[in-house]
Amino acid sequence: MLTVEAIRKSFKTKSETVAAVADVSFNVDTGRMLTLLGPSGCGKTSTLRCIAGLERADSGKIVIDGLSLFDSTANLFVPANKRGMGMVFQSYAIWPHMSVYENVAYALNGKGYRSAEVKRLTFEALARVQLENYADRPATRLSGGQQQRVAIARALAGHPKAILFDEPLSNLDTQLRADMRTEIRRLQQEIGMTALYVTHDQAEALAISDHIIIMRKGEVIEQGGPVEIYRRPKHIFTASFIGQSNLIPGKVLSVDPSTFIAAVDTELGLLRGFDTNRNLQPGEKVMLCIRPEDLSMAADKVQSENPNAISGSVLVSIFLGSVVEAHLMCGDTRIKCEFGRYADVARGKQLSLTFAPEAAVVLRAEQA
Amino acid sequence: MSRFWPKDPRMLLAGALALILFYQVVLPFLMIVWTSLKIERPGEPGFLGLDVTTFNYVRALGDNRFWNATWATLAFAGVSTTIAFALGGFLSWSLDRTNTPFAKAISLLLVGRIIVPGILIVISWILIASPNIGILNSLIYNTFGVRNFFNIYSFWGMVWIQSLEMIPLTYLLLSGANQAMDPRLEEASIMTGASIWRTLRSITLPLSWPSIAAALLLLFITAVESFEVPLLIGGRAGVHVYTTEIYLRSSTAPTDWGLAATYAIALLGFCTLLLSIYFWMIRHSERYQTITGKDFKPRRSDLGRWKYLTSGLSMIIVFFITGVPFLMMLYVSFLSMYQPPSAAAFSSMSLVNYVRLFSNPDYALWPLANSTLVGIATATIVVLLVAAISYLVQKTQIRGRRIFDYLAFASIAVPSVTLGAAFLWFYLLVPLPVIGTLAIIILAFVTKFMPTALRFTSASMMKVHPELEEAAQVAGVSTLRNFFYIYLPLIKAGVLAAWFWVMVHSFRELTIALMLSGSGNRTAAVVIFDLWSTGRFTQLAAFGVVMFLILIALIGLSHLLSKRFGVQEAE
Repeated sequence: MLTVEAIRKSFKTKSETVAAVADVSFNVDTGRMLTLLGPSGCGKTSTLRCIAGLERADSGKIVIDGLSLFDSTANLFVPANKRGMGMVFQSYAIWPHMSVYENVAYALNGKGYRSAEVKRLTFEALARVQLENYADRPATRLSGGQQQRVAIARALAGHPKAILFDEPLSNLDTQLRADMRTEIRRLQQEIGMTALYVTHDQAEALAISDHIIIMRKGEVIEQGGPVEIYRRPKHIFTASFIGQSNLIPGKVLSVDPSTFIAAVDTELGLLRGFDTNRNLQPGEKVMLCIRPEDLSMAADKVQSENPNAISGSVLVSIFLGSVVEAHLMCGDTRIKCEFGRYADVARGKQLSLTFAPEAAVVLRAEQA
Repeated sequence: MSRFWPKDPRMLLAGALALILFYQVVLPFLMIVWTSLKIERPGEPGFLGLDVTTFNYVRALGDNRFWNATWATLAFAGVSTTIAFALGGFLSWSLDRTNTPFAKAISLLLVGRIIVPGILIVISWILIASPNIGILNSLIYNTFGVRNFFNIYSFWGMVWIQSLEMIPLTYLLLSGANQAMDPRLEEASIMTGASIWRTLRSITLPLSWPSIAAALLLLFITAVESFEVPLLIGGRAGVHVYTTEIYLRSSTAPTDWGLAATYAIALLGFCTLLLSIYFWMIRHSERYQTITGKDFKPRRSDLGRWKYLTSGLSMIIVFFITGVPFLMMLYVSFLSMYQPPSAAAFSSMSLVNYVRLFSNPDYALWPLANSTLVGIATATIVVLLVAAISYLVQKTQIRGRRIFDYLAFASIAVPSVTLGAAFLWFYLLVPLPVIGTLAIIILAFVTKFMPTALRFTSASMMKVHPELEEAAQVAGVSTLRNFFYIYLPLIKAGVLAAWFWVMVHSFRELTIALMLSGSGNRTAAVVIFDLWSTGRFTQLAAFGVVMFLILIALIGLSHLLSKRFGVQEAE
């Protein structure tokens, strides 16, 4: 298990000191994949580099399998090359003057393995990423995806205690990125490796993780499993950063104490949604967040007693293959929704939408 | 009429540039070649006659002096390069790649040295370690009773000064190499568990090898072309290299221009060969660049307590490079008579040299004004030329446009002495009254500084996306307006950098100015040489200090300007 406790790291610029990481703590359970997710500059890469030992945190504690790697109170700092971790870089960092085999074997040489053993382990690692037939190829004559596979094989070869991924897929094109993330997930589960993954791509985080940590401005905003994070975000930032959400501002009227369904007064009328934090008070300013795919067409307009009804006219609709996406103007509010591919939502058409109160979440509006 | 007047103004520009480059680069080169093949001198009747001869070559190759000069040039350049590379390599590593304290200040002092005219550096070392007047020698004699412990007038004296002079350049070249490599490549090695030394041996050095080899080659060329050290020291040391041979035979009586031209051809051929290898290597090194055009911040390793040692050693080296010449000049400039430091010396200090210097405008004011004028004129002409060339080459489809690039860049292989001789002879032939005026110096400087300035503007121009011009074209803007309103503002940073680079370097350039000097066009560097030849060391030192200050002010101004424009662009 990898434990990170109260890590802080700040950088000095010419005029000021910027806190890149401010008090970050989490655990990565053995054999699990944890993702640090956030926009650029949120401190996720700095956190990763502190764990790798490529940066020295200002304070805090890092422990892997009961072994202390960093402890500011004991003035302990194990250098990066003694931490026994593997790392995959965004730029691949494949050594251009070596062959594929040499790149991977480099991680094993000088560690007391016999040469036959080095060869066996290298080919084992290459086989894991399906590159065993490319062993003799110069590293410069590989595609981006293949280079990234070599980087993964190199990180795996030494059987590290944990693997750190620093935005490994962001230099690849869309199709390849989707394939590679599945590959990384498969490998991680197959080997049962402990992994820490950094990305700014929310879809990648959802696809690949056992556990997601949302970061912003050096702080952890919230954490949880992918489904929980997607379905029941506790923070307005998470709701807007992950997936698509319609955010409808309003004011809490009442909260049902047993179901935590909150009634919210919005400019679209009274709407109901789930209070994920379970602590909203009447009168508080909130956002009601509803995902486009959770909106469905109401059977007919007569259902006026249904509190979760929105009606408006179609501003624009686009066919996306698997679904049709439509934007509705409901008064001054623009609502995005998704329907099955055969839906008839021509421009100008009046639509009536509804959603289950459990599908929407009500979150405290952020102080500006 | 319209048949002879091309519709596209770009063709007009191309034509004009072709003529200028032919006149400035090709003709002077042909001049050297032709002179080497003739018995008659440029300007004499029969010089343009077609009866060429190999007489000069036979004379040169049959003379031991030529082979001695060849050997001396190689030995001097080889040893200086080795020492400069060793020390500069150490500085580059400890200042750029480790957590050595005060690295930034030390590197600033180191690079700042580049602006100081080479002749001042040479003179200050002569004042320190000359057998007759050297301060260090008299100190050693007074303390230990050993006479003439150091002799700067020797092969090793030359090597010492030349190495110190080239260390800042070494540092700059290696810094560039550092920034071209992705630090992630080293981090990846560290993360596999490899030690710092294994990473250095297996990753850093193999990857930097092409740029290291290229740097070595460029240093070697610099040493082969160097002039100040061989001129002031080589004569008494009995070490004659190509550059001094060319200067002596072309500028001092009895002149032998035919022989000078053959030496010039030999030097030119040698430099061209080395430069071709250099460019071949540079091209080769690009293969290793994973992401082109991106500057990386090099990774610094933690040296622990050793960092105080590297800091101390770096400071000592930089003290020799920048501190010694400056302190020496400052000290001597206040003396009324040159003497080693003593209580008497310090009590006799006064400003008399400065007063004397500026009371006669011929000695300070006119030369400084000349240098300033030459600097501004050269910088402006060069910058306009290279901006137009990089525009033509990179942003138009004119056939054969690469030739402009090659021509403008070709003079990088032409050593200053060769260039000086070429322009002198050329204007003996061409009936333009420029000899002995500032104009001939400016013309020669334009050719001399075009290659480096071209690199500044080319780099900037490359970053301007062609769609920006296409957008303007589609909007119906004329080509000419495009150049002035789209390209020039966008490459402002590069143009500004090039302008200041040329300005500062024409201020410090001695070789060409000396070869083309008469009584009416002496520049600051030439005056230093004159003061030196007539033994007026104290006035020379005062003049040197003034020049230091002017150059520092220039650099400060350029920093201020680039900062200002940088901020404007960011907004």
